[in-house]
Amino acid sequence: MLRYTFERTIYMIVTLWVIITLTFFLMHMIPGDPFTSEKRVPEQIRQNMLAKYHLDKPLIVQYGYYLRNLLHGDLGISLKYLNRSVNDIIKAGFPPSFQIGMQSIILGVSLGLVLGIVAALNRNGFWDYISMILAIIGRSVPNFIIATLLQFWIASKLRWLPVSGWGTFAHTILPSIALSFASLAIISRLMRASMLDVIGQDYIKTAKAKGLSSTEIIWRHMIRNAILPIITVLGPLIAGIVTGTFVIEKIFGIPGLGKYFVQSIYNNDYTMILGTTIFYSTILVLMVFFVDITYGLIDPRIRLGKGGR
Amino acid sequence: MGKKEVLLEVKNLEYSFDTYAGEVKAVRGVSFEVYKGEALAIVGESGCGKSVTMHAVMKLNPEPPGRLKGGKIIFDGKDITNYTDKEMQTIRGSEIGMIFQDPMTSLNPTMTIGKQIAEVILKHQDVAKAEAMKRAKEMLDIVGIPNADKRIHQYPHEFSGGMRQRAMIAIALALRPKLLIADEPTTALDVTIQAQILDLMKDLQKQFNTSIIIITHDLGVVADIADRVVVMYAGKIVERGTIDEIFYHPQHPYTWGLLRSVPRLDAKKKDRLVPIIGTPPDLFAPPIGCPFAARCDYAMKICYEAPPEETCESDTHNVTCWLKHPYAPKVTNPFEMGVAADE
Repeated sequence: MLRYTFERTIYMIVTLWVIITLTFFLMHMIPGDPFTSEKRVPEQIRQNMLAKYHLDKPLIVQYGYYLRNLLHGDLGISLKYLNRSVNDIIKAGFPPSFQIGMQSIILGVSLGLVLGIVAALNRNGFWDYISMILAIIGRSVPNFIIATLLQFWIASKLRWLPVSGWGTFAHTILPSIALSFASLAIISRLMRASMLDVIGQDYIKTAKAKGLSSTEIIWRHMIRNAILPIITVLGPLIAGIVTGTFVIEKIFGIPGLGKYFVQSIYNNDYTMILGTTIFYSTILVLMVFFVDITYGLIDPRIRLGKGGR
Repeated sequence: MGKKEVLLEVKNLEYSFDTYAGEVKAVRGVSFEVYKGEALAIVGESGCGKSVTMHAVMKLNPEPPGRLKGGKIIFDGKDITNYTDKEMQTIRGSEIGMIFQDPMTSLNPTMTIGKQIAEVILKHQDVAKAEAMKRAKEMLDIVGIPNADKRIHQYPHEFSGGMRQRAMIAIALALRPKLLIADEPTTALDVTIQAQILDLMKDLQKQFNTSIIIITHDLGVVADIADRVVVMYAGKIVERGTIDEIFYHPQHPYTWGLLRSVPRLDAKKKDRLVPIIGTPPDLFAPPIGCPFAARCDYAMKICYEAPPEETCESDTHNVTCWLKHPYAPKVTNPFEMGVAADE
């Protein structure tokens, strides 16, 4: 296990390095520089600014500088937000995004699992259709529509919860719900398909022939075998959602990380682009690692370590 | 031999599946009984209804689309025909054990072998977990798996096919059921392992005085293990009798064909395997007459028009064929017989 973790860590670092390198060079291929949008800056000042951020140096030298700073854990100074380091911005923006993200994941995944299981057990029945309708809504209706509908009915009309803003737990409820629809849709469909697959397996017949009740069969024999595909999508899903979403955070006025992913690109905010990319990739790569570990816990056939095998 | 006690009696069982295309009449009036301590083989080709019949007894067919249309199932003096799923749960696993065709897929891959055996004990008996695990270990010893101490903590993928079938037998017999239903237990195993599994089943049958119903299309297996044989064709029983009667004095043309199609070691090189020409009837619309008529070399006009009645050859030997009618021409089995059951 230790050896496996070590090997995986090396792979993760290599993966990250590839991502950083690709992003770095691709980013510099975008026409313009961070100061193009600032109109009528005297050429001399412009040159000074470029020099300050080492942007006048050859690309490969800049790349070297960046990697050196990165090794010290320094993502650099944002080129757009004056005097704020990328580290600070992420540190400030991540907690709200993380909270909303995790809440929506917990909500979406648990509801999705229940719906998927119920749908599979009542194939072509009432609950199957309910779950299918919910899944179609979740997949096809953009979350900003769900968000605004929630704001209108729950917050504005019924006045149960605040419309937007940040501060108390009440503020986090609506965005979490709005965000959870997508994961609910994915998880419920996937769990349904996976459960149907397991229901047809021979070992379910064996379990029934043992005299187990349906509930016992579902809990002990079906769910654990059916949940593997869910774990697979859960990694990327979590990574994508906890790092913030542009639209939902904008609508509910959450001081999260989402907007930096988008704005940094049209601002040509080089350090910010790299910073957010690295941050997201790290979380993604870590999640994939956890997924692989979890696999082994759930399915002994893919268990790792213990001297290989 | 004296009157033997009946353990399971199936009377005129009819079982259908409702599909989009219509009703598939999988089992059409099947009757047989199993005595205490004996081994009964149900043979027939794929799709003849042999598995459906036994699954119907255990109520393991998914319902719907499956549906018990008629008949009676009496097990150990109890009429279990209309038992609810809850009532069946008390019988499954404890009084009737079952093993299946493919041991590779019949065990839950995410649960240790020990737990899977202990599960059936815990379900039916009020014992502590540790006690159940101890008995699971004993069962592994009984079915001949070495290092049972270690093996109970392993997962199915760490077992070979033959060992998994042994583990399945351990699960099925953990509570010493009165009846073991083995649904093609050796089909998925290679030949040397088949023999071992059959020997094990015979041993345990004696040891626990269990009745066995073995579903198979392998006449070699039948010869090895069974006391009596039921031959099924297209959802009906065409012939039944003791093993000697079926192998040495078969009466039904279908049984002749079955026996003739068995590959023989003493066959000459140029001899080809002899199939039964044709395919079984469509069970969406089974023929009015004898279902085998279309493939039968001796079919008469009546065979297409009315179903034959069951006739008695002896106390234990019944045939369902028009050739047994007093007015029918005398036809005898044209093939040299008995070789398959020899040895």
